[in-house]
Amino acid sequence: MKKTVAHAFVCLFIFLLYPGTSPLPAQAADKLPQPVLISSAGQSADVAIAGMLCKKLSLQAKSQPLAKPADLQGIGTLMVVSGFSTKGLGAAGVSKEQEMERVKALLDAAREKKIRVITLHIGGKARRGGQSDDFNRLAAEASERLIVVRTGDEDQFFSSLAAGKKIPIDLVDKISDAMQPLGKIF
Amino acid sequence: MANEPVVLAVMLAVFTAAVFVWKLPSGLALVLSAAAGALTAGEGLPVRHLVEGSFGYLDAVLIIATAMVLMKVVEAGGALGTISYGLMKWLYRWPSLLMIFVAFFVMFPGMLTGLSSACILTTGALVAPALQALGIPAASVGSLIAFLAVLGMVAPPINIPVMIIGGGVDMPYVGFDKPLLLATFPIAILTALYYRYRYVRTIVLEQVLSKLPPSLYVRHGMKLFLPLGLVVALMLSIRLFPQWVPDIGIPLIFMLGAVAGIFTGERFRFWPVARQGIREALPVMGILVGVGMFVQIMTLTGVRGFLAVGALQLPPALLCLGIALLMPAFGSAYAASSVLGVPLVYVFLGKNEIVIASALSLIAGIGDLMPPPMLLCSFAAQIVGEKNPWRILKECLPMILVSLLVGIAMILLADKVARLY
Amino acid sequence: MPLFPIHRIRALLLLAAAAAACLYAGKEFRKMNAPDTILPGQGVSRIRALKDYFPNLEGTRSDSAVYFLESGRPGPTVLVLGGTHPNEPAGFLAAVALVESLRVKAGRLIVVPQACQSGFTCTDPLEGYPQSYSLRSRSRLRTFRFGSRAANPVEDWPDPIIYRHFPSGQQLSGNETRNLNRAYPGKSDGTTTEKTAFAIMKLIRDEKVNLAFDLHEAAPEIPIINAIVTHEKGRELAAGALLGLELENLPYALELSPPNFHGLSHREWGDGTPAIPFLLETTNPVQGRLRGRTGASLAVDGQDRQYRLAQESGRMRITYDAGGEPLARRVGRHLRAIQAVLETYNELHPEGRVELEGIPSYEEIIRNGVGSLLQ
Ligand SMILES: [Zn+2]
Repeated sequence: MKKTVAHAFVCLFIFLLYPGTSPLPAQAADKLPQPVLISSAGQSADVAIAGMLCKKLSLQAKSQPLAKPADLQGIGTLMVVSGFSTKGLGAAGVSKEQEMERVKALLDAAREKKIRVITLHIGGKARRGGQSDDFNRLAAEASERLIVVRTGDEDQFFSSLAAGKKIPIDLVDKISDAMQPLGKIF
Repeated sequence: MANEPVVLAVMLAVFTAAVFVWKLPSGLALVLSAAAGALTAGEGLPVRHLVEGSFGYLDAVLIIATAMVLMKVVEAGGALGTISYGLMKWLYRWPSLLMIFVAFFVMFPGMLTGLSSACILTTGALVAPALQALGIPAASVGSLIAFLAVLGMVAPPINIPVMIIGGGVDMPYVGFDKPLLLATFPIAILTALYYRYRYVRTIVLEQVLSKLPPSLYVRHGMKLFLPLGLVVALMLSIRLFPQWVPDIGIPLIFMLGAVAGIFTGERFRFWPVARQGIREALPVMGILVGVGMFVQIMTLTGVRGFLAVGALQLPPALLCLGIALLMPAFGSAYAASSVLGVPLVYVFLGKNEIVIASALSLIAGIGDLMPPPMLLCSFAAQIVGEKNPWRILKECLPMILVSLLVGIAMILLADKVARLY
Repeated sequence: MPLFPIHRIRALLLLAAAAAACLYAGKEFRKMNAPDTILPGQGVSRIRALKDYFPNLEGTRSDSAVYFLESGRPGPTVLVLGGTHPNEPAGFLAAVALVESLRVKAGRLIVVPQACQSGFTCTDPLEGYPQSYSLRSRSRLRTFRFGSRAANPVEDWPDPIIYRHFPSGQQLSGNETRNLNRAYPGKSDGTTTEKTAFAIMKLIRDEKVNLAFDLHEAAPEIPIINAIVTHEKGRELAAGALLGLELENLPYALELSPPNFHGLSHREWGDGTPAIPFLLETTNPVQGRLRGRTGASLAVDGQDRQYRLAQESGRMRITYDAGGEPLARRVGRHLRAIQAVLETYNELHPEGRVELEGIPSYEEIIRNGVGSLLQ
């Protein structure tokens, strides 16, 4: 028993020492594969807006705010829209803890299946701080690319996280401006 | 056109002068203070606002008036004395148990109605003679029932301050039972034991009983308790079977109890007794009318917002201290919940908001003890025959302090508290 | 003992003063029973009333005018409700602006500017609200009542301690009994407010409303401001509208109606009728808990020092522009948001469009003031 714990610690240590071994793929020069599964981290209604953006870009995408690992079947890219909404969680009938578990499971499954992951944060200040940032961090750290509306990054939450983890980030002024980076990567 | 701090200063100065120098009743002092505030702010004499404000606590005024009539009837019919007598005879051997039982007994009407005045005027008044007979000084008995009335209002299942906060932040009244239980029951037990070890040693039954009115149980039997039984049954059934029992309102329930009391005990003349009840309630009803005017003018002139924003501007280290001092200073649980409770839920956004709202309701609840209205202290003073309500407030201080600490701790540790249950 | 000892004289004088004050105030209170003047524009084809959908409301304080703006050309039916909460003037005035200035070119619009008519007949004690406010319109000085959040308490006085929503049984504080936006779907034999809600539900069904708007405002400290709240079935339309509004520099947040919170228009209209509901929120300092001096000018200009200070403190998110939140901006937002949803609807349903004419642009409303929308 003790041995296993020690092993786990060593592994964790090595893992932390060598960011290169992190399962996150480095900068992707190629286009992201479709179809896209749009899901939420925090159940804000921003998923619907991301869906609208994809529709306008004619991407092959479907929205499942409460997607489970099984929903990743046949998916090319997982687009996580992060941000917590008390109203939203109530709407989905889940607690914050349940939502956290679901997002973790979904991101783990995506990593296992080598499905590409990007995070969109489009809710601005309203989807920052408090309960939102747990979801924002979780989603951003598991992503290979962040697209963030600038009002949500006034305190450099996303840009410093991106710099630390070497994740490329696109800061845009408006939600609709997110179409440009999205158009480029898909 | 004076700014808010000046208006506030004038209002407080006029109130203080009216009470302590001109020796006016608090209700009238509040009216004068409100009028002075409006004049200072350049609003002239806003008669419409003053009259409108006087209706702010109309429902509370009615509850108090009817509760006083009910209690006077129950006293005159003999049930009051008989209950005190029976309580002693039944529990005198176990003083700690007696005190804890008394504590929850006093809290009970407040738990059902969410009204602190319902506690102090009914069960509080019922146990006060027994507690005094035990040798607890009058002011201390007053402080005990006044403070338990606060806990009764905060305790589940019904907590109106939480509902007021919930109404402001769109939070349904669901899932509050356990945090409210946690916020009140331990303090109630602690308070009961504090009074027991401070004042009550062994109870010599004969000595105690000789100080109480005689039991009339032998003469009237269970019939004696019918009025109170009716009141409790109505309150309970409205809560338990809302689909069948219409909510006829607390004042009507109390009046039905009072009418039943005419026929169930000693004979007495109803009108003089009812008049006596109203007469005794009048000063406090006057205060509530005055407080309504006072609050309305504070709002009109911006003093209310000045106080609320002032509290929010405190540096983080002082915020909790500020909450503990300012929320009770509103002098009314309902006003504090609405004005400060709602914004504070947003200040603490991100923590468990159910625990936050519960804790805020406990802190706001203390306001019912505080000046200017000193609602509960004034009633307690009347019930135990103490002239000075400030002495009751002073006796409450240790428990107030404990409650504020519990409230602040719940706010700071909201997420940990939520995991407790 | 003299017949009139000094304390008795003092008491009589006090009593007389109180009676005089009540008499005067009573007159002031009764003034609020006089209805507001709404001048139907050329777009209005007929006027009905809520009682036509639920006769029980006839002759009560809760009956309210229903304006029809019909193009005669096929298209969807759109309902706009103002004055659900009469202390939220932008919602009411946006609806009045539609009645007075809008022309419908395709489809039809039904407007109820004072959904909670009863709430317009009183103000809330302890709130220090003004009873009315005035604006200069295109032709004259217009005065409108500033009401209370909920229906007049004299209707079903007293409130129960707990309000139990019908039919869910959800419990809210007793004063919500008179809150129209907690009363849906209503009850034909319920309280006055439940009856009003019942009539509005009936209107939505009888008139086969496709899209329904409930115009509100909220205190600046409430997180859901400059927001579109919608039912699941409205999420795509709302998302499209939000992108369009953002292009015009009118940022909005999208919120979904929580299914476990009952009585709200965006929940019960959506669940109980075929209509797609949208609830719009703007920021309204005069109903905020942190506001400073309260009065008609705060309702119209929306300038408040306490909110500026609260925002500067950074303690909480407060939607307040340092230059104030005038009615023009709030009404302009409501009108633009309605149009943005309808534009998205038209994009998605090219076969059955609704076309509106006569509403100035947001910039024009800001420039010319909210009065420019009124006759
Ligand atoms: Zn509203």
